[in-house]
Amino acid sequence: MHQRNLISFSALSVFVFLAFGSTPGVIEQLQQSSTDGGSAGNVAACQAWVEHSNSLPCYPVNFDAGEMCPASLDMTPIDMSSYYQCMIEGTRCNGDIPDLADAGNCAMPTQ
Amino acid sequence: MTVRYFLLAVVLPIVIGGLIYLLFRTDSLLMFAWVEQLSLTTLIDRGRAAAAPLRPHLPAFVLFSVPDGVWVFSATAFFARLWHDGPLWMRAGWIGITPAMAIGGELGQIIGVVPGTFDVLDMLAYIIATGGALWIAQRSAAAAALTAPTAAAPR
Repeated sequence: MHQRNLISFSALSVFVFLAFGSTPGVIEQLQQSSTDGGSAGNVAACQAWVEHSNSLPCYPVNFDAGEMCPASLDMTPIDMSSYYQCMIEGTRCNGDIPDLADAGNCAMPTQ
Repeated sequence: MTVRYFLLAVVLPIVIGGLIYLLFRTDSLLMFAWVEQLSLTTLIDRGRAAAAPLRPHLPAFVLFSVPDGVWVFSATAFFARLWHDGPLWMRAGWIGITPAMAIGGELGQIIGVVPGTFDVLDMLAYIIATGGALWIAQRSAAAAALTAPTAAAPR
């Protein structure tokens, strides 16, 4: 019994660890860095959103990250990583149709 | 639990789910950092390039719900087989833990305590995965019981 519990706890740890692999790592790191006061991750956060959008099979167009995420995003003191994280979570496919209902509720930070 | 069961019902689903993520999903996911640390980026990039023509033909259910579903399947199949003859409360607890995490997380998205958007297809994937894993584990345990030697056969 104890051995099986030990195996189960170990296996559960592995399964949870594997589940973390499907979380948005780049954005998490950006959010972590943003707590230190910088906003230099805006371009990278924007690029992550563009990559996410381009990976969706229901999207008929491919966004150009260079066009969508200009370097000037990193010049603003405003941290936009939470906005792009919200956009990633809110941009998805509903069957063959792009579902932007939640993305539409993402508010661009103003300060 | 036989090696065959472990490989087919536990490892293989995880591999399939991982491949869906690695080949077809955005490369901003944390697992791509692991891939980089393992120096497998070139290999995965080649795989993504080769698999790219398939992506438009894959339904959203396969891309977004199946990977999570196979995670639930794999874990449930593992715990169901490991605890098939254990005490009821231990069996129920371990078998139910990953479906509860997945389904609870999805329900939590409805009320806003878990980040993300509720998706009925995700929920469907979890339910199918849980049912399928329980069925596979049950069959495996029954087959093992049939082939097991009788402990105290009378002479």
